[in-house]
Amino acid sequence: METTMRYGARKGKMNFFRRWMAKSASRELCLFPVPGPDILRIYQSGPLNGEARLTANPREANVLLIIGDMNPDMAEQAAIVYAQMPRPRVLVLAGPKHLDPLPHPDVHVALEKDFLQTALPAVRECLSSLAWIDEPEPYQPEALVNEIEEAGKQQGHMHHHHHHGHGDHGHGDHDHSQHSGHGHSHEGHDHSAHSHADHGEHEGHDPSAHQHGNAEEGHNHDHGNHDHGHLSGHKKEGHDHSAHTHSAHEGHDHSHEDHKNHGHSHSGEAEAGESKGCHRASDKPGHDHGTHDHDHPQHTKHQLEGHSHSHGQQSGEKKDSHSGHDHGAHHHDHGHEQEGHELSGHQHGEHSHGHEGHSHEEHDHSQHEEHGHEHGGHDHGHNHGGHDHGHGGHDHGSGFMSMIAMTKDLPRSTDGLPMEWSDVQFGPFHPGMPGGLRLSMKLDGDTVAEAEADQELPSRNLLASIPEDPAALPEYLEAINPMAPVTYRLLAQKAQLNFFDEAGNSALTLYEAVLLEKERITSHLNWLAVFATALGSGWMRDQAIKHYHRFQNGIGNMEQLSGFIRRIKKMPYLKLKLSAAVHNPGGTEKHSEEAAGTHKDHHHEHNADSHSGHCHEESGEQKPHDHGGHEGHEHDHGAHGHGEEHDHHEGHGHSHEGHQHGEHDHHSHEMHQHTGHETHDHHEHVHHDHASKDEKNKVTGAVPGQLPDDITGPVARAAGIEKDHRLEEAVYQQAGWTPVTAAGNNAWSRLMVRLDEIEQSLRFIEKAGNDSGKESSRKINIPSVGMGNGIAHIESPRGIVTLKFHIHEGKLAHMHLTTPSVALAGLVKPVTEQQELADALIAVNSLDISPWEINP
Amino acid sequence: MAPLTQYLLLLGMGITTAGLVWMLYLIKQSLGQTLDEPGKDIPAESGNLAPKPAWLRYHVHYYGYALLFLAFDMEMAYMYPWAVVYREVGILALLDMGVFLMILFLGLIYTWTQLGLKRQ
Repeated sequence: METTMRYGARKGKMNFFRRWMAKSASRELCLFPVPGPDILRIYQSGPLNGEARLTANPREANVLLIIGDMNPDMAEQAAIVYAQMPRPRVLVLAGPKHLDPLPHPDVHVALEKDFLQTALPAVRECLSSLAWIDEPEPYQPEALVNEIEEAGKQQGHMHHHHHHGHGDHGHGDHDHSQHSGHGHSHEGHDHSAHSHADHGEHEGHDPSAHQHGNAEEGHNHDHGNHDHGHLSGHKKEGHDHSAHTHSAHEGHDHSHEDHKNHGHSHSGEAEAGESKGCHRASDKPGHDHGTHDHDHPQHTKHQLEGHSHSHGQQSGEKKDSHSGHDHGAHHHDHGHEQEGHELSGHQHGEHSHGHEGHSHEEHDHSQHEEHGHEHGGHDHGHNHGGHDHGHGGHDHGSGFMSMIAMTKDLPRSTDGLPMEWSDVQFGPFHPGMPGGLRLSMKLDGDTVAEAEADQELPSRNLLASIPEDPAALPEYLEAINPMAPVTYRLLAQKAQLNFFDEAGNSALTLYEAVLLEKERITSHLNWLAVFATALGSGWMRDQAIKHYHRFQNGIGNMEQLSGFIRRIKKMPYLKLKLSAAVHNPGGTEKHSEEAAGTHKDHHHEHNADSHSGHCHEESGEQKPHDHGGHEGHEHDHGAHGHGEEHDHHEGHGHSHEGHQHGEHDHHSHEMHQHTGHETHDHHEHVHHDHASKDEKNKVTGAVPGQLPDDITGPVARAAGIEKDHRLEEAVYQQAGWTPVTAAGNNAWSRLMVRLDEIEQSLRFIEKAGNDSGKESSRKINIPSVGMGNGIAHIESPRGIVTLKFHIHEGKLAHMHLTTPSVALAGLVKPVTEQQELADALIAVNSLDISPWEINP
Repeated sequence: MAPLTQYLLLLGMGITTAGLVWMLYLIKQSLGQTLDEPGKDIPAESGNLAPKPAWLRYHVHYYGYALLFLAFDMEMAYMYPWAVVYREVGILALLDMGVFLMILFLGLIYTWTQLGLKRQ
């Protein structure tokens, strides 16, 4: 065949030096197999012994090996790989004569067993004689060039691609939590659905996304990212926190006993002045708390203790909840009726907090002028850093290098910190993944925020062209799935029998069962090789490959394989890695400690900065604000750079006129009926979805909750579900066969189930021994006319495969194949969520998803 | 060693380095012209186009690792001059360095107890 290396050679004339280089290159062949080494192994009768080596990266390869036909999407990905290889490079197609958009192959061989034996000499010849040619052409297929251009454009916009309103994550910067100046400890306030005037950037402002509490703390008002844009145009409805019925808190027991220096000085004395540098003083004595009649009967030392309940420094101690601050029957009706307020937005005038006698009604908010909402006073914790307040001329911290400005649109990690997430793809040609499988991931640092197996990049795409002749079905199905050809062939034969055989006897014969079990062994071993690659164990991979080839060639040694399996089971640390905690409870504790720590710090800053009216004197100790383990009420100050924000606040009378805290109509405050302390605990669970997910997900590859019903095969059996179609086959029943199960439902138990299944299959084959005889001579008489349905189930190495077809007038009219990998692909998301990347890859690997079984 | 010999050695090293660079350049020249292909400018990501620069901010939780790195990097910086005088000073130097290392090690243990070496 014509070999020009037009797209693979370097430019130039051959000379002595180049010939020498070319010869060396031809002896050092580096193959990049597409779709993957696991597919290549199927066509190899032994491991590559020095004649070439496989590489994980096309940049190192000089031979691109395309194995078998593939659909156009995958061919395009292969073209990308080819374009990334350095010259001189050789393109080998095994099977198809041409694959668009790849160039014409330099070497073409038929897809058959040991095709490399014929391909490699041809590749060497190509490299040694044609590594340099006069007129090579740059490889730039239109599809690839367009894609690169598009990707380049995306890069330009990449900063607009941040994800707003990510489900579980709080919304960035706008922290309503710091109502410390107010003492309203807005527990459970869902400040969602603020109809802010300046929501310019709030796409997807998802009310549900308000993170009520992080993993450990209670009500974390983590209202991030709200660009409240406090413009003057806001309406004045104010906070409608009305539905807060924190009912059953017994009494308003603030128990401020410890608060020695709780210098609230909520008096008019906090005279205004310029309020520069310190928020102690407000422009106007906005919240004239001097007249507050909080009337907390038990509070002798604190006159105005309602203010500045900085909740929850003790996030760790959940049991202590509410020991201090009992918002008994607080009806936090932040009605903001705005009576008498001209412009001041934040009218707490009608705060009927429902604290018995704790009526804020006398807050004299009326004097708020344009600067009404001096954030000293009612510091509702608006995290103003980086918010575009629309104050003419005042640049509130969105300045150069402001972390708040830079991170305000970023998605939130589970710990509430904004991070840039990266989109990463593993596969289709990743050495640690089954060849052809593509995982798309969003990574938050090294944690997987989201992952899914690509369903658009399917197998050889042969299902699109179903043969008309039902007799061709076995060959056709065999070709569809290179990973389990025998099983698929048997499946087609069973379905044919089910339809054509008069007796309707489509049960497996012993011979067929042995074939199936043999394929199960090789399939599991091939999977083990990929799994070991992902795991990073070269020894396990090489051994798995060695045994794979032996069993494939029918010279497998049961004892040696059993020895190998025993050694895997005894591998130090492996069990721990695959089944033990990734985030152990200690880790979570640490987490909460940290959060509490940060909280503390910020809290202090509140004291200093944010209470102009209330003016918390900096007391030496922090105790004053410790209202005792209100973990339920924790405002997650941790993640909000308050220090920074408040710096920006200095002296700015934020004209929060018409603070649109109003229209909190959708505030799901109703949901927070705190009917008791227990309820708080409950509450936490409700709102801490991802906290509990974390707990569940701490095991590598564990599937949280129940496995979906459609999961079959080793993955189901590793979760203790005895789901196996072999139980219904007479051959297996006679042999007294029972499925192998494990109770872990994690990567380790899946490994164990597969290893045990290998041994079980070996025993089954041994027992069958000579009884199995030769292939049954049952001839299937396929009539040329006929109508009806055929159906067959078979337990493939990955689970139950079902084939249904409909035959109309002797022709195959319809065919439906149900494969286990489709269901397994659905597990990718739950097993990877919040896992470290390496663990996530192992978890996905442990599922043994075959891309050849996924068809769009 | 006489200063002249030292300078000669330095010169020799300079010439060797320059020669190596020149050789590399020659090899590159002799491999022929390169062809401009758009695919080659894109990092390999198992068959996908990955044009985004991998330029991401790190999680603030990594500060612990950064601090640890600094501590042990500094330690190494101190150990070089120590290694030079070690033979002269003898066992005392070993003890001194032992104290220094112990203090650093305490920091490591503290970090450990605080689960600072744990993945966040």
